[in-house]
Amino acid sequence: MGSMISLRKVSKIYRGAHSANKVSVLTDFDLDVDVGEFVAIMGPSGSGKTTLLNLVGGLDTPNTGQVVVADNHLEGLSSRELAIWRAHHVGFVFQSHNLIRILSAAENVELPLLLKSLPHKERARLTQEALRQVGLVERAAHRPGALSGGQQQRVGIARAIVSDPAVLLLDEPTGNLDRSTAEDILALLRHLQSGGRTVLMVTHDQDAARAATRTVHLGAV
Amino acid sequence: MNTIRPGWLLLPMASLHCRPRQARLICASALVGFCLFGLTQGLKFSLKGLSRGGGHFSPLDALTTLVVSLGLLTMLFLTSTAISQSVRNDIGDLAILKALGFSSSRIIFSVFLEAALPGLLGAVLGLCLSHPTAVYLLHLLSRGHVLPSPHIGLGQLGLALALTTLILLAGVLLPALRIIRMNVATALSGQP
Repeated sequence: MGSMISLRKVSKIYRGAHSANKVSVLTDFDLDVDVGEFVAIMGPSGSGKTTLLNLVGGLDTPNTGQVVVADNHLEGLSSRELAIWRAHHVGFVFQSHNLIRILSAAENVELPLLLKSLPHKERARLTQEALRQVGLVERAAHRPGALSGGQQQRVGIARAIVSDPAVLLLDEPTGNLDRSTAEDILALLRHLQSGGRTVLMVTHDQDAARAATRTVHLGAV
Repeated sequence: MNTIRPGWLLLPMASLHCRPRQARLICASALVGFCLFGLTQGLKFSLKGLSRGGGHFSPLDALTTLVVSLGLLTMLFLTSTAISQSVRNDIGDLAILKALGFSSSRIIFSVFLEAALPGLLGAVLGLCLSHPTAVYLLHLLSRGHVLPSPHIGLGQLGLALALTTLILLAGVLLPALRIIRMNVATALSGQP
């Protein structure tokens, strides 16, 4: 299988208020993830797990090195090109859900489809299909505040998969959930991977990492 | 499964939450600013009719220009503050939209749209209110003299609409810079 995600000699340095306060999070980091692979990223706090996810998702840029995702060299793209690229290739799931409070579950899921110029009926169909996959069709009209943590996380996953991206990036998707809900989420992720999606998941949880086909450990800074 | 709201409304809602307090402030400042604009234009027309002729730039012109400028500058300040505050409060939601793939220009347009609707509404209401106010003031000032009725021409209405748009565009300028320069990863992590 071909490589979906490829990082070559990637370094990321965060600079503090003073030039002396530099924190090197990733140094000459290499990673290859094949199409359809489910990779768990583990490591202690501050080892660069979330930074790695942000670099692969085009939310941040490396100081040096190459990030190639779905045959696109991200370091050469402008912020506008990165936004278009994200809309078509990547689905994000955040630890803190990051749903928009004023919108219903269905409207949150529908948001990425607004970028695809689809007719309303088609958007509604795809939204319903995504909510069906995560088992939340009956909660479609509820706002995030009326949903449990696990349900909000599932809405986040539905939003990530609704536009059928090739790559799913998840930051601690089971971090705030009880064991049973976490198992449901991991089963859903395995199901999505079996459908051909490439999944990159940051986690602290050994049990969650066991759901992946491979685990990459990042060292402490 | 029901998606009640049409798609075109979702982005402005998601970006600024249709904050009623900010909308009211923008609408009220536009109303006062353009009521003042219409009032001074109407009064100037009537009082010039009384003096018949006069210089090219009379003290009356200077006074009305000063009053209108101050009113519109206040409107600009209030509009810009209201939009900036909304954007600052909702920077996390704007970061979500950027992470999902919405471009800065699209988000800025929706922010502008949300300020433009109450702004234009306030300006139109202000102009409508200015005519009866000008008639009443003239009635108080005239003391038996017959003055021409206040009148606002099409040119002045066009100028008012152009000024509203310019003020709203200028009001969105600073928040737009903030949206363009936003680091999505930092904003999503909740750091200032």
